[in-house]
Amino acid sequence: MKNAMIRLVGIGKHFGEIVALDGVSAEIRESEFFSLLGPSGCGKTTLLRMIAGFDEPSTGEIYIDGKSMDGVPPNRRPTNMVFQNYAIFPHLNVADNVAYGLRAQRQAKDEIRGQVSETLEMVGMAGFENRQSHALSGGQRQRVALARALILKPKVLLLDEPLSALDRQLREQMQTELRHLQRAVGITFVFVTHDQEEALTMSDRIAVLFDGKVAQLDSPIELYRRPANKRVGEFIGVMNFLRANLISEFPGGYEVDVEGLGRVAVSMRQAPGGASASRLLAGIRPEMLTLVFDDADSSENYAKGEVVDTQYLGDMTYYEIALDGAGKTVTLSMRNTAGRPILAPGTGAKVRWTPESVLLLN
Amino acid sequence: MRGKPGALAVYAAAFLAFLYAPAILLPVFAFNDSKVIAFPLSGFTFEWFRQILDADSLHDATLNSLFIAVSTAILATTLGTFAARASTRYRFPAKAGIMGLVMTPLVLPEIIVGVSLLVAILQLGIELSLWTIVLGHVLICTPFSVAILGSAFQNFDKSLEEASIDLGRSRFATFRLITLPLVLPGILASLLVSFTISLDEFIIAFFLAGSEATLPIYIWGQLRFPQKIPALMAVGTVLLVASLTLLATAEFLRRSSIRRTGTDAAKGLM
Ligand SMILES: Nc1ncnc2c1ncn2[C@@H]1O[C@H](COP(=O)(O)OP(=O)(O)O)[C@@H](O)[C@H]1O
Ligand SMILES: [Mg+2]
Repeated sequence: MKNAMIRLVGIGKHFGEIVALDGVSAEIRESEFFSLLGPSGCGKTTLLRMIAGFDEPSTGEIYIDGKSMDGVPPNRRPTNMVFQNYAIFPHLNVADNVAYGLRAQRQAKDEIRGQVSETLEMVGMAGFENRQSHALSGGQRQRVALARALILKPKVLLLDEPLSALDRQLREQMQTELRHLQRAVGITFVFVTHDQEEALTMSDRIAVLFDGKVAQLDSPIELYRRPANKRVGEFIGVMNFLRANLISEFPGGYEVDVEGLGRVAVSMRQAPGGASASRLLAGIRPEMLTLVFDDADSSENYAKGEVVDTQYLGDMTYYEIALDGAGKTVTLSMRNTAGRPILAPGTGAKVRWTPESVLLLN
Repeated sequence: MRGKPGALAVYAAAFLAFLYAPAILLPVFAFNDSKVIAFPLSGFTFEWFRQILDADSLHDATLNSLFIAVSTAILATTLGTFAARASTRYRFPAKAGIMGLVMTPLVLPEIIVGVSLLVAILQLGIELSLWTIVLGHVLICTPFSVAILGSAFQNFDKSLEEASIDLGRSRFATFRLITLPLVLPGILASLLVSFTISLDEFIIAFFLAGSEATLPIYIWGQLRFPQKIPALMAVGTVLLVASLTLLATAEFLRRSSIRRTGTDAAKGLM
C-alpha cells in the first residue's frame, strides 16, 4: 500500500457556536484521487481550507508528507488549490496567471516561458498565452486555474467543487480529463464535491462527510455495495429499505425476517455493522432485484407483488412495486434486453432476490 | 404618486436649470466685454483671463490651495484605504459605531466642524497655518475616500489574495501584485475627489487659515471690489472646468475599478 500523503488526526473546527467539523480523522494516500463528498454545509470547504492552510483547526493536527502543518502558512505548504470560482487574476493574461507562482521562485525567463507553454498544453490550452483572462469561458478559466496550480508541481492538489459551475456536457468531459490528468502527473488530488455520481466515477477513495463527521471512508465500489448506514446508502445512488427482524444468529451470518421477502440468511459480509439492534433494516439496491417473467422459473427466493408505476428510460426501466406484506413500495430496475417485456402498472409481478441482494443495517 | 410623466419631465427640466444655470453664467460673463455683470452682453474678450495672469496675490492663494489640496488628497486617501479595508475585510468590536463616526463628517455642517476645530486648535496652542486647514480638510474628505474605496474593496474577490498566497507569494507581494493594481483606479478616484473637495472648500479654510489665504478665501475677499468681479468670473470658469474634468476622471476610474475587480454593477457615485 502507498504511503500516507496527508494525515488528518481528530480535526475539529468551530466558528463561534457553529461546529463545522467534529473529530475528522483520515489518511489520504500518495498519488491518490481522493474525494470529500457530502451535502452542502457538511464542512468540505472548511476541511480543504485547513489542509491548504487558510484556516487553523480548532482541535487536532494535519500532517502532510509526514510533517506537521501546525502554524505553517499556505505559501510554505506543498499544496496548491483550485478555487471554486477559479480566482483567475483579472488584470493578468493567461501566461502571467500561469507563471505567477513560478516567478516567485526567481527562475530564468526562458525557463518560465517554456514551462508555461508546456503546462498549458497539458491542460489543453496551448496557444492561449496572450489571451486576456476576462475573455475566457468557464471551462477555459478552470483549465488556467489547473495549469497555474500544477506548474508548481505540488505534492497535493486541492480542488473545491471545480466542476459545479460548468454545464453538464462540459462537466462530464472535464471529469474524464481531470482523471487522466491526475494519473499522468501522479499528484495526490483532494477533490471536493456534493455530486455522488461525480465522486463515484472519478475517485480512488471517497470520504463521505455528514454534519462535520466522516460517515464512511471507502472505495467507490465498497461505498455503493456496502454503505455503513441508511444515510450513506440514501446519499449514494438509490436504495430500498425494508424493515427486518432478527430471528437467529448462525455461524457466518444472521437469519432475519424481511417484510415482503420473508426469511433471509444474510452472511456476515453483508452485515458490516453486525445485528445488535432489535429493529434492523434491509437495504436493497434496485438492480439487486429482478422481475421474473418466466413462470417456470423454479428458484425459491421470490416475492409476489404488483407494479404501481413504470418509468421507461430507454436502456433501463424502473418499476415501483408494492410487495405483498410490505409497508411501502420498492424500486427495481431492469435492463431492457432484447425481447424482454415492459410491465404496465397494475400488473402482477414476481420479484426474485438472492441473499446477496440484501445488506443488513442497524 | 400619480403625477403624469409630462409634469415630471417639466419638474426635472426646471430642477436641472435651477441647478446648473448659474454655473453656465460664469463662463458667459467671463468672456463678456463689460465691467458690469448684466445682460445684454456687450462683446467678446479675453481681458479678464489676462488679468488673472497678472494678479500675484491670486497666484499665491492658488499655490496655497494646491498645496493644501494635494496634501489633503494623499492623507485622506491613505486613511481611507486603511478604513475601507478594515471595514470590508475584518470583524472587530463596535465596527458599526466606529465606521459611523468615520463617516459622520459627511453630514456634519461644515461651520460646526470649522468652529469646533478652531476652538480645539487654539486650546492646544497650535498656530494656525496651511497645515491646520489640511487637518480640517482631511476630516471632511476621508469619508468620501472611505465610500469610494469601500466599494472597490467590497467588489474585490478575497479568493484572489488567497490564490496569490497559495501560489507561494508573501502577504506583502500579494498586496503589491494583486490587491494594489486592482484597487488602484479606486485609489486614484479617491485622490481626485479629495483634491477637488479640498480645492474649493471655503468655510473650514476660512476658520482655520492663518495669515495665508486659500483660493476661495481670496475670491471671497475680492468680492468687495466691484471692478474685480469680471476677473473672478474668469477664475470661477477655470475652477469649474478643472473641477468637472477631475470629477469625470474620478468617476471613470471608479467604474473601471469595479469592472476590473469583477463586478457588473456600474452605478455612479455622482
Ligand atoms: N467563516 C465562517 N464563519 C462562520 N461559519 C462558517 C464559516 N465557514 C463555514 N462556516 C459554517 O461551517 C459549516 C460548513 O461549511 P462549509 O465547509 O463551507 O460546507 P461545504 O463546503 O461542505 O458546503 C456551515 O454550516 C457554514 O455555515
Ligand atoms: Mg463548499
